[in-house]
Amino acid sequence: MRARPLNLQLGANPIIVKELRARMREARAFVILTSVLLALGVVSYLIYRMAMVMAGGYSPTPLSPQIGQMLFLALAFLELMMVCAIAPAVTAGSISGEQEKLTYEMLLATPLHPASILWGKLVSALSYVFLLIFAAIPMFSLIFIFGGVTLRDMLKVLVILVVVATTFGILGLFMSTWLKRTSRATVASFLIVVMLMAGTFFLYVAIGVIRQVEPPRWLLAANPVSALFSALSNSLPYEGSAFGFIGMLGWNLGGSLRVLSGSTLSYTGIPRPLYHYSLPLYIGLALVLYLLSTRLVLPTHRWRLGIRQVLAALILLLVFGGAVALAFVATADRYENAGGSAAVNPLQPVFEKGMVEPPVQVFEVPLPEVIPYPEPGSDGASGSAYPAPVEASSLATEDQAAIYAAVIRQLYIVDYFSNQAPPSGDIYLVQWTDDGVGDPEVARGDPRQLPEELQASTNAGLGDLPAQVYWIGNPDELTFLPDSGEIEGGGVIITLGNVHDQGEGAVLVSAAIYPGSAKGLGKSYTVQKVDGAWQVTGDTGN
Amino acid sequence: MVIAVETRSLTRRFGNLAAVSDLDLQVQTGALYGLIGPNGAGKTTTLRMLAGLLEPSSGEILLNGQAVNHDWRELKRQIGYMPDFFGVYDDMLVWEYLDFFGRCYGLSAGRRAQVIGELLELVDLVEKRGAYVHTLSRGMRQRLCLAHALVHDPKVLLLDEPASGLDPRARVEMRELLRELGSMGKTILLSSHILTELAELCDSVGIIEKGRLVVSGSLDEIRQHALQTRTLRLKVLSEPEQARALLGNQPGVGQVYPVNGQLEVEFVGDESAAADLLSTLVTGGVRVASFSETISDLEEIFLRLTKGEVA
Repeated sequence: MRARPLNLQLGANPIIVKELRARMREARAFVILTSVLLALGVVSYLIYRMAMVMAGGYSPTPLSPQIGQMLFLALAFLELMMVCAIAPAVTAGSISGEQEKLTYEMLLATPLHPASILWGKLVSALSYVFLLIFAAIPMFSLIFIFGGVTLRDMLKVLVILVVVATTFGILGLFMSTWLKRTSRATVASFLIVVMLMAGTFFLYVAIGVIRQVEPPRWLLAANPVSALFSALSNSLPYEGSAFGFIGMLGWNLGGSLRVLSGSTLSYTGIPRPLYHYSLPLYIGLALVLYLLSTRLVLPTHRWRLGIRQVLAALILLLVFGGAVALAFVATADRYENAGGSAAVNPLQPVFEKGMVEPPVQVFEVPLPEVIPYPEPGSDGASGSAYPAPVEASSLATEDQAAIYAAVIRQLYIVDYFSNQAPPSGDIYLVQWTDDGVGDPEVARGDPRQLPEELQASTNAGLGDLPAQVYWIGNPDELTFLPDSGEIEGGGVIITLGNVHDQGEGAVLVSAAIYPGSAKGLGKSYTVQKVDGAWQVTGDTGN
Repeated sequence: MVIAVETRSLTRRFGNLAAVSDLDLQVQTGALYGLIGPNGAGKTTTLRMLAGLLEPSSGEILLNGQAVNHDWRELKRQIGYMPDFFGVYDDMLVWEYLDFFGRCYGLSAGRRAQVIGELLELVDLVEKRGAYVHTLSRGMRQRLCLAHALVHDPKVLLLDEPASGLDPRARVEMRELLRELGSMGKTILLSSHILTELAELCDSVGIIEKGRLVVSGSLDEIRQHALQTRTLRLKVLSEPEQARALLGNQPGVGQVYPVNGQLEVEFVGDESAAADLLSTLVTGGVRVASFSETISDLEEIFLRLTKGEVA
């Protein structure tokens, strides 16, 4: 028997002819199609009514694009649910059904290759599912009356629906060839589908709730609903709009649990949408399952693999993997963290698409804004101006002092004065921390007074600098020259941020340096313990 | 005579159980060969291996003198197979059913149309052409299934219990059909556990038991083979052990079985030798009440040939 992992004989495959003939003769096929379209129509109308009724807040009537977005989201969601419910069901009986009806032996006794049987079954079953998907496209055109959705979003949805349908179809096919009983194959397929949809989501939510952190997004990559919503994030109505259940579900399943985890950290950058991971995952899964099925379906020589068959399968998988890798590399510059850099950085700045990052990422930070300190003794966190405090670093005072010393040295010697003559004058360190100095996008605040013990230790670590180090409560204490704004007698002011644990022994610290009362420069540094000493190992500009 | 189907020490094991072991089968071209044996003897296993549905554990299959090693597709093109239990597709018309298998065998559209007409006529289902397959009676389905195995005009037909579950009338029809196919020059290898069926139909028979071919040949050959070893039945009034011991020492005596208080003796020799055996027994002090030879019909032959291994 020759290797035929993918037998593309569409017209000639007798199974396709037979299956389509039988399936489309039944009234059932048309009844299902009609009722699906009717249901979608009714739902569209209801959502339209709902959008009109629920429009509230700032505007008595919703904007037309909002209606379009809601309709689009609801229809896409319904179609996905439908595909998940139908695709495994139509294929779960493909091979086992023949075995149960005692027709399989006669089929195998013909020269038809079992892989052709499998392929014919898959194509005929999927063509029916695709018919259901494509028949609903006119319903989607309703959305264009209202607008708010791009053609690109539509195509994304279509691609996701087709890939999910194919994968779940092949899942049913695989179960059918493997378990040899239609009932068992159906149950097993649906169990996996439900696990992928609900299981991943509950795990995701559970991690978010229990650990109170943003759970790992990749958990949701296997979730078809998340893939869909992540593809639609451009079309998702913004939070708080009169949207209701599906919108909430969309936000959560789409991989944003901010509400649940209550994190103060801002959503940074443009992460690669989940469906970029979901689609390759699904296509890869489908390929592997299909290849396995072509072996399972053989009556003889089931696992006696020829070198050519193994090679063909390997080449197929490698080509697929290569194509995925290529696609990821080609689009890498459009997404943050695509280069496989460190964990999501809460202080990392947001960059617009296409914006070129400066080689050294330095921000201009206006000095006066550093100053709105609360009165000593008052609770800084309770005021609405400040986000909730980030947990204090658990590091010992000596470590914190060493970290600050390293940051100050880096900022003072390397980053700021690198192209200038050595500075004259003193260094004035502000006792109050400010996380915002390294990144203008991060809310200013979370001020804490560094303890005197820490101040002293930091000073000790900076003894070799060619400048005196003083701690000041507020830059107001200094006198600025009226013309240039420089500090009288020279020198610089340095404001430090809190020490944030980044895991794996790394911490993140913001710092800004001001040559006067005018604008200064801020940066965020990654500091790690290298060979027993804390050293700056990077900054947020990569 | 050309041998259409031949197996050489064909063996198939399922785990430790040898369903078929060292089967050497030879079916002449154009023969109507009946494979007979009790349920579980390995008939179906043998036919499935011949149809390429089951992989032999060892041994080889020759088709028209050509060994079938890897080219199972070619084997399948030359063979028509009808399983013992089969289902039909619910949602198919009779002509579509044959059309489907015609496509499976890669027949062109024109050829399919022609073949469907011919086959429906052959199996007498012309009026049922547009009927749903699942509305057919059992006998009609059986004939339709036979027709499907003929779509590609195979030289060899493998029929697993073609008459099982048929009423007498359908059985006669099936028999006529097989005779007709035989006269068309097809080699037919069929299995059955019903002896009379085979006796009426087949010109050669192989008796299979516990996966082994006990005897094979034309009906006459088998009868002669069986008659070479007569079965003598004797009733001994006393000391059966002594009689058995005595019999065991005599020339020409094979196995001795106690059957219903009597002894059955396999004996090779003519009638005078049998008379000598009787006198030996009597002079040896065994009281013989009756001494006779059983008559060999096919059923008898079958029972005799298979008994030793069943016991």
